[in-house]
Amino acid sequence: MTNQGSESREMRATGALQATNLVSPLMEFPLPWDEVKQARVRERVMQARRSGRLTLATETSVPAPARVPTFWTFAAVGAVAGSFALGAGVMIGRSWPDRGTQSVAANPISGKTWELSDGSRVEIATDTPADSVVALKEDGSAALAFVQRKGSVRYDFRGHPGRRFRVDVGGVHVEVLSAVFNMAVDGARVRVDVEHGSVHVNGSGDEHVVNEAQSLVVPLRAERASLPGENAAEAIAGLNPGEPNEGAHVSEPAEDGLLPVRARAASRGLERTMDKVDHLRRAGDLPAAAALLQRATREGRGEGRERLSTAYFMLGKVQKSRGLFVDAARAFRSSWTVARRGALAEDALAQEALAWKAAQNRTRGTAAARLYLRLHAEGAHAESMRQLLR
Amino acid sequence: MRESAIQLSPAVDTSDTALVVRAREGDNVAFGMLYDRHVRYIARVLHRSMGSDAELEDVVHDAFLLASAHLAELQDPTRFRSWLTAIALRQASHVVRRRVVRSRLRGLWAMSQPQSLEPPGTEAERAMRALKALPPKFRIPWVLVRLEGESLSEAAEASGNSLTTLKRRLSKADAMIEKWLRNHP
Repeated sequence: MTNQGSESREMRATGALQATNLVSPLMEFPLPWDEVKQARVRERVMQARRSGRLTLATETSVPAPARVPTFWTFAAVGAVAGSFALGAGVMIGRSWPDRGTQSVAANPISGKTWELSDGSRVEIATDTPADSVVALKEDGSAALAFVQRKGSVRYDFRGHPGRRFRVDVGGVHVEVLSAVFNMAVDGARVRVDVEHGSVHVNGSGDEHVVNEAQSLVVPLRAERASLPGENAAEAIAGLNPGEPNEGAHVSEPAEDGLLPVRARAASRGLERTMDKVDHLRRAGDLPAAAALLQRATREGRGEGRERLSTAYFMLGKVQKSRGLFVDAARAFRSSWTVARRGALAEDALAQEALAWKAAQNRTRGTAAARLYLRLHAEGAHAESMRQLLR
Repeated sequence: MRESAIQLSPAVDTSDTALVVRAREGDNVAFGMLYDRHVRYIARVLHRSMGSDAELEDVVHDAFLLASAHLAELQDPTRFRSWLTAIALRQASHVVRRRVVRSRLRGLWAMSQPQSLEPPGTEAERAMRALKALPPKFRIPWVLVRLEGESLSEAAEASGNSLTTLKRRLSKADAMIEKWLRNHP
């Protein structure tokens, strides 16, 4: 009995010993996690945190939630917004599809803040219903219009200097290229407060320019601001890219959360492509992964910059793994160029410098390292960049 | 003796506690720092606990998103990592459970088995197989204590077990691994 007990104890001790012996090989087991994934997830998390939207990836039917809401999301939310507007007795325009104008966004799904990927923000005040603002976009142009029905909303349009914005409140139009301002509907009037930049207000037949730290109160033209309908379609029509406007570059591809349908489909395509690339990389088929990424970057010109930057970064990693250091360096540079303030920008510059070094092109390696140190003197790769310069 | 004209900037407290406090107040930079600090650890624990990498990215995403949303509920900011790990493991267990149910419903259990990344026959591959053979309730404590070197109390907190249960499961996991290794020489 005693022997049995000691044998059992010995077996348990042996078991623990053998189990512990698993630790070393397990530590060597490769973790399917790299800086690309880390940056990708970081971007998604931070975006969700900023927008206040809690959309869990594992509870959706698609493999990963797209940062850009899908067409059907817009359609569904638009339908809900439309029903709400009808219930409120507001006329929903019938003419907007006929004018070639397309509603691509309605109200926030949750929370009261929209953030576009170009950094523009629309913040609905806490005491204002979330359905008070509808965003419209003319397909194929870079102009963006909002229709505000009531309440107080803060608009921050600083991120995209070439884009023209317009906000319509009950027949009062505010046009802006780059500014931060608040519009508050108070009975039959609207108050415009400009925090930064200047806006052009057209209301009651008069035109005003409201500059930074100034306010303007304008009577509403319509008794009540309307939701998407005839006025909204006019608002969009008024944002024709062909209209003369100094400094505007409205032909730039759209790069916000309200992409045209075709661009949204392409975005989903690029995400799928990157998933495929992950699989190919794991399977060791680097030439196929590189070919896929090259095609994706060629065809992804209209993509959001972060996605395109990620695709170039992955291409750089793949080419580096293949020993094609010059191609890798060029891909990393493209990654940086496409999104200089993106999540991967710092890493891309450092990787470019290291790839040029591996390609024995000291001149370009040095230039990239210097640029890195100029921009990220205290960055994560600063020490390795300094070593590269020695 | 002249005093130095150099004025040092005050040191910024970047402890988890300070970052949690700042993140609670809406500081995204602080939350980003917490993410950068802990994401690899969370990814590693999840990968080893889930036995699959198919949903790893999504589960990591959800763990941090849930942590962000519920940060105000964290009573002791010094325990941020354990708390975050607990969230991540809970989310992973939902995913694993759904995967099992889905597989059984479809009769495709074999196809849903985690795919190996290592060529068969290596030590790492054998070790990973032994680990994957453990049911999650035994695997998670084993990963936290034996692989990650967490203390028993931290592992208990992160895995949602009492200390006694954790010890029992750890011991059982050791025995199960031993048995597996005997049967798979």
